[in-house]
Amino acid sequence: MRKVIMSFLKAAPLVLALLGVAAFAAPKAPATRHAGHGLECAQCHGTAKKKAPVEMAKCLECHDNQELATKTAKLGARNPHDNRHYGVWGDCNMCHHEHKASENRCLGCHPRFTFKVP
Amino acid sequence: MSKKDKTPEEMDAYTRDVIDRGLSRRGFLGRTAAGLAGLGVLGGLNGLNAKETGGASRKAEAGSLAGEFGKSSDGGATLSFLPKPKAIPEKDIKETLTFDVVVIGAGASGVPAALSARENGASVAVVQKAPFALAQGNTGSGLDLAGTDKAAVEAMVGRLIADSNHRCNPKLIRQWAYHSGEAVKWVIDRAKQGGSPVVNQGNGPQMKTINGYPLNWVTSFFGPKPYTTGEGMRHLAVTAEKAGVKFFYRMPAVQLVQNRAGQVLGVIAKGPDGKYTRFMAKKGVILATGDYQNNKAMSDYFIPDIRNFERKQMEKTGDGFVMAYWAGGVIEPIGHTKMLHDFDAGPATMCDMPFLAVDRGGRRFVNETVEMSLLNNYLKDAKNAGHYSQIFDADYMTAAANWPGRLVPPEGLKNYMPEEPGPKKGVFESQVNTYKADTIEELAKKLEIEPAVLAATVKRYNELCAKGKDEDFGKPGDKMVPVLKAPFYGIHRRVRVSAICSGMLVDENHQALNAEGQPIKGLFIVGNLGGGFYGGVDYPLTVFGLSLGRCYTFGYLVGRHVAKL
Ligand SMILES: Cc1cc2nc3c(=O)[nH]c(=O)nc-3n(C[C@H](O)[C@H](O)[C@H](O)COP(=O)(O)OP(=O)(O)OC[C@H]3O[C@@H](n4cnc5c(N)ncnc54)[C@H](O)[C@@H]3O)c2cc1C
Repeated sequence: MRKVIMSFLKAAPLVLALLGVAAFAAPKAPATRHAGHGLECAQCHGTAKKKAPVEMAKCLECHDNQELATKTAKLGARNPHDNRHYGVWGDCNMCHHEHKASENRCLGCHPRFTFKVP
Repeated sequence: MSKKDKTPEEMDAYTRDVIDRGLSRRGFLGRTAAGLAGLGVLGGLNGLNAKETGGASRKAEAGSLAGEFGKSSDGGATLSFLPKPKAIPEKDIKETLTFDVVVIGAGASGVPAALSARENGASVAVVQKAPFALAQGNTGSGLDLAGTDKAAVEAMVGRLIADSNHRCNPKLIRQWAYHSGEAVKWVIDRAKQGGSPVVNQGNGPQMKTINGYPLNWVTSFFGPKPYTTGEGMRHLAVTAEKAGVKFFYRMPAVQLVQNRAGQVLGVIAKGPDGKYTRFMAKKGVILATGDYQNNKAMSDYFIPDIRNFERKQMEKTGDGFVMAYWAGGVIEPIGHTKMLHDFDAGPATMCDMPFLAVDRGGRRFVNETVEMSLLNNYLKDAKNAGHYSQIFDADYMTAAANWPGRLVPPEGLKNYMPEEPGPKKGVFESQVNTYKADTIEELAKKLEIEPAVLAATVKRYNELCAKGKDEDFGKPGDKMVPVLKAPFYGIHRRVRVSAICSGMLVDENHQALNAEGQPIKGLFIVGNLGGGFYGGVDYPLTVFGLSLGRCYTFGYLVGRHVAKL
């Protein structure tokens, strides 16, 4: 996590400004990867005053879940992006977070499915 | 009062009790203002009727959140986990589709219900939350009436009623007993047609006699792991689809469509695009959404015992409970039946063997002849959270040769050891948790126990074994086998919630009943969402695969029944 923040700090002072805005409007964001890529809050959250959590459909506008599944096919014992519970349709938000640390949701039940979740 | 109406005196004891103590929208009001049903005030939008709330409670509703959530059975508490469905504006409904029968949930009861309805001539839609059919487990069973005397069937019925501490609906147990053989055979046949490797294990894992009467079984086995009934239901869905059943995946049902008279006419489901589809059901809606183990508030309320246990299922948020409750259904009273197992950490056939067992802290906690399926009752606290270990020594193959179950020799135990290299067979690799060590201290470390504590426990246990008397827990002397000779073995099990098996009040047609004991037109409920089949503290393991057997059987029967309406 710290590494990610560090690279933000070094590489993108402009992004930092954006981050500042994001942190002001949203819960504290330790590492907003999307903001790091220059995305603005509204691109995911819309322009409504009351910011709603982002639904998976939004993620799929840019990310291809089938493609992701191919990429992670050899990650370990199981493919987190094509699993027995959800197929390729697991909700991104279960593991990947923007405003707090991401988590490995497999681990709770599958103690040895260890891998880093970006 | 219509001809079908039953007075409380005419109802069976089970139904009367659930109406009396269970949760329903109108239950507590019904009790204080008895006779409302007779006055025919049932009605209103979504079945809600302002009249029934009366002056005082209406006032209360106006000023607070009350009315937006369900209530406890005495009306005193507002229950956040029973939110009243919000009306969905017509403009948000993308399309309306009409079928004879709409099944909600493609699991162990829903897929059989759908196919059965289709085979009996109905047009059928299945609305499913997950991206495919989803269920769990391997074994589902029924009594084969050919070869099972009626006296044996009745003895089995009696046994299951006793297993449920006499709190179930005997009519539903009988219905399983007399129809399950036919139903499970049908599931096996139709799943095979869809490509499933399912087999009938017959009497294999089952008890062979009861009260001296021989029993004959149909035991469907969807396996071995990692193949389960999940894949099995997907294969059954292939057959169903070929037969003309329409499946709608990634489409959770969000609310029922009801007319002013309370009749259920259909369901509204939310698609992956966030848009709604309305499914109208000319003959009936069959709710088969499973249990509510992943709804924390609902679990904490109905079965606080399981607060600290991990769950084996996902996304079982009790959607069906909310829908059925607001349609006027009755939820079985607090104290639901739970199912907690660990068949995976070590061999399933050794889980009930009374080896030395220690809790997560390394201390003995029970007379080990208590079965694995009941141990959750001793391990409910946050620290233990279902963890315990079975411990035995190098001589286990001879020492335990005559114990219940089947021993797996050391070579086979390797299949359950995460430390052993190489691929495993017939197990979930991430769930195996068996270890071997040359000293008790070393074993303790692998079992995540303080070595000194385990060493002391073993020392004490060995002393008792030497005496041949279990002065600490009273286990029979012939089961007091010491832990002396290396290598030492430990199976670190953790029981987790497989299922919660209490649900909504239904009659023998699996039609939901309201708080007056009247059938709710158009609403049928099967699987773990259906009530009346259990009632004990724990799900019984008398019949291996009773749960799935019951799901298949009631799905098979309800599909046929609704199709013929
Ligand atoms: C690991 C494990 C092993 C088990 N082993 C056995 C065994 O060997 N033998 C046995 O008898 N029992 C076993 N059980 C129990 C058994 O699997 C369940 O009791 C059984 O699957 C329940 O069937 P059901 O139809 O009620 O629900 P499920 O099979 O859970 O099906 C419910 C379906 O409804 C869907 N759904 C939920 N909400 C909605 C919604 N809002 N809209 C649309 N769809 C929805 C779900 O996606 C799901 O597919 C096991 C359970 C577990 C967890």
